[in-house]
Amino acid sequence: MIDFILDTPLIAGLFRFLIGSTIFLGGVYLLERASILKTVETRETCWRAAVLASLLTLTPTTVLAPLWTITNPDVTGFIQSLEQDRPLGRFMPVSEQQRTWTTAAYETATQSISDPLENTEGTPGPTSEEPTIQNRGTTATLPAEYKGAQRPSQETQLMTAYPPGLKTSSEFSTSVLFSHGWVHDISSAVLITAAWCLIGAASLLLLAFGYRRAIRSLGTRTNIETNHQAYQTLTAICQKGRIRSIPNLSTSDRIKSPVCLPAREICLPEWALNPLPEREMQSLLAHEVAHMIRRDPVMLICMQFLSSLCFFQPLFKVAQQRLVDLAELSADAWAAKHVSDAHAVASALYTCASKITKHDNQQWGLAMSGHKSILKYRIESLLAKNKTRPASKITRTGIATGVVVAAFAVPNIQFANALSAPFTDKDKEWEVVVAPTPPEVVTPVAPTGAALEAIVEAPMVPEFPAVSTSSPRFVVSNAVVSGNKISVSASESNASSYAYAISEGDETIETNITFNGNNGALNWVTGNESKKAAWKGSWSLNADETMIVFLEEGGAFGLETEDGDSKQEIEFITNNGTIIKEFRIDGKPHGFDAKAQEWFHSNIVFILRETGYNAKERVSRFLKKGGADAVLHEMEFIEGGWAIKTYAEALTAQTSLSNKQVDRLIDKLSTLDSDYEMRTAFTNLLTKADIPAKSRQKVWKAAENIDSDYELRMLLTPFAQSFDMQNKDAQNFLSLAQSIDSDYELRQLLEEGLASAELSDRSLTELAKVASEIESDYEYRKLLQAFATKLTSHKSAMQIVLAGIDDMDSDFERRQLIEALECRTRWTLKCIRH
Amino acid sequence: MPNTLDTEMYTALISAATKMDSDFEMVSTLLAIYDSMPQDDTSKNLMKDAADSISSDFERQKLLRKLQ
Repeated sequence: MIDFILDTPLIAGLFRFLIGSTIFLGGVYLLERASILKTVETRETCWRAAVLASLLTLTPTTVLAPLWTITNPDVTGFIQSLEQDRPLGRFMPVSEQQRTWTTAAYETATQSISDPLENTEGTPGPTSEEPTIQNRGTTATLPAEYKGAQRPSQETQLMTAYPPGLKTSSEFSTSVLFSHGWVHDISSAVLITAAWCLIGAASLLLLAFGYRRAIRSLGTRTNIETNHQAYQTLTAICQKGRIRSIPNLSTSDRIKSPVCLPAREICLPEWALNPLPEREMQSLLAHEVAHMIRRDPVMLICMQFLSSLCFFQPLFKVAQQRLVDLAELSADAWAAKHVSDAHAVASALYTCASKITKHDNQQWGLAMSGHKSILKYRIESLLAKNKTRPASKITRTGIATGVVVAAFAVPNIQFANALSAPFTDKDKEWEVVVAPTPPEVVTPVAPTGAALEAIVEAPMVPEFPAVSTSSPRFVVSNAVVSGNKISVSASESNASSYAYAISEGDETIETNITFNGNNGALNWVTGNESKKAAWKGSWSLNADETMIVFLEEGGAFGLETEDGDSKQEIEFITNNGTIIKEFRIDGKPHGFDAKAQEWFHSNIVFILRETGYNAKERVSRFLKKGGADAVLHEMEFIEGGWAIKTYAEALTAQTSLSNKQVDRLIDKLSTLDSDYEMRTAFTNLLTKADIPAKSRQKVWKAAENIDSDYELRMLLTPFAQSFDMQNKDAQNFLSLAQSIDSDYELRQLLEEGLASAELSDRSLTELAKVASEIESDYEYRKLLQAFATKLTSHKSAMQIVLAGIDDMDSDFERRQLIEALECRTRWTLKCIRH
Repeated sequence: MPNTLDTEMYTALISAATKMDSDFEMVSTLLAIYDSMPQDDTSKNLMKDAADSISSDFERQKLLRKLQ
């Protein structure tokens, strides 16, 4: 509960409430003081609307409300200290070891409940040097205490997950609950919340005692008979005011002034029943009836409750006082209207006031002369000749609506760097290890040549014996199945992963491929369908790709597919040089029949295509079968960019392509989304294969889709190094170079072009035109220095450099360039620094 | 005169330097060029004209001291 309160930005909400309530209540107070609010009705409407609007600022954020981010470091630092400061910790020190166990051990204990159970089937769990735990699909490091320790045996794993000395879960829980670690960790924000709750509760308690005292102060109340003159007068007033239910009328000898009580009761003092002028009695009763029909006692109780709970906002007290005063004025006006004699009401008011010798504490009731301070004003209002015309209902409704709407527009408060995501010690213990994303992917090693031929002729793989349910199930040490995800541990430096997502209509296909040396994994998910594969060690298939015929000793291969209805899985392990397989459907062992073989073939081909595994060997096989067209046909079924690039490289490395085949390959490579894959694939194609001019145009066209300036520069660099305007690719080169936004990348590219010794004057001029696109004076100056190297060999170089100096805005860069030019010309020792 | 600029280059550099807004940068540039100034009257006058275009007395004095 307390977490919920704190996670909802409590302090920001409280700030919003304080700001909003101060604006609304303070605003009405000022308007009233400035006599802008003239009529009693308007003032009362404004006060009530202001109270309601103040409460509405506590509601969740609205679209109307703008967001105010407080960036003042003092304020945000204070707010952050409220979250992070542990004031009780200064008085109750806890040892670091105890703190670590109270947080980390609890998490570990809950994690370990499922972890060892999975291994009870005989699985030798992960054996990497640094133990890891799969937590919501991510790899998390264990607390420092676990590092370097031997992984516990299956039987003792659960026990050793607890802190030393705590052998059972009950002992552990008891220890955690009764240790004072949680007290130590209470933040200032929680303490403030607790203090608010305590003070608020104390205020409400005081209010309750006040009510009790008020009830006692009423003494014994006696109902007035219906034939009494006072009751008949009350009946007449109710009939005149069209009030169906006549309130109870009682009398008490303990009160000095008539009072309207919450349960539709009007209590009169004894003196009021002694002969009192008829008009005064009418006025007195009409005043109290007005309170009753206006439900003023209920309003007063609500305001008292609110003022007690929000004790930190004194304006609620002001609002309460003003609403009580305005209720009296309204009741006077109602009484004067229904008795048709303002003088009589004023006279009754005077009579009441004269009877009061001390202040009666009426907690919920509204006594006729409750606050003597406004008596004079009330009498003057009653007797005033020029009375203000009461505000219309439309005006009051408009005001109330405006104020309430304004409440929804009170800005939401947020503190920069505070209250967003408190980082606790617990989070530190479970810091997520982020998978590294090196660009280069390690190509799996597979047998080739004679070894491959031997594999093709290898005997059929035997199945597990019938009692295979008890056979040990493998877990690839670096490929871990967790929930619906298979991943290879990326904590090792040579691991690399590749992921892509393809959207088809409403469905998205997500593919994640990870390699770690000879180990790897693939996870393919779309809707409720999934394919997962993980392997340890190298493996190969037969020529028909229907069976694994080679698996590295100690290696394993697992494949699992799910389509929402059923789950099929196959596992291969080695046993003394023999490959053993087990096929299961919905967890039960099943014969590897023709249907299973078809399932395996289709899925293993899918894995080969998307992972690019053994691409060289596969391409070799396809080339033997149907030449380059067969490979290109196979590539049509591949969706992953990395695999497409791998197959393209293998194809161009192993055979020459016809013009038509080159075009077909370029078309396929043009579909790549990744700039890196496209660049490396095209670079490989352009450098390895003899590409006709028409096909090169297609490459340049496809290169326009490369967004990354770096990749574009890398693609163009080989052409820059031999740039010549006579070349047919020159215009395409210049056009693509101009599309580079990064001044740095453009300078790097053009410098490559200027390094060419064969550069013609025309080429130099064309490169200078592209160079003028550079906005950064620094980059431009560096490039002009490169142009200056051509001063002696190219006539146009001088004009290019001097024009460049004029184009620059920075005097500093101009000076740097002029000094460089001067040095280059004189070639003095000073020039070394240039 | 192996360490002097040719007149065309010298004139171009002086021209570029005098287009600078910053007196400090202009004087620093002119001082750098001064070491390789061709020793003919035209070039010296060009340098003096450039010195005259410096707004700051302090910066101008730096160059004029060198010219003396």
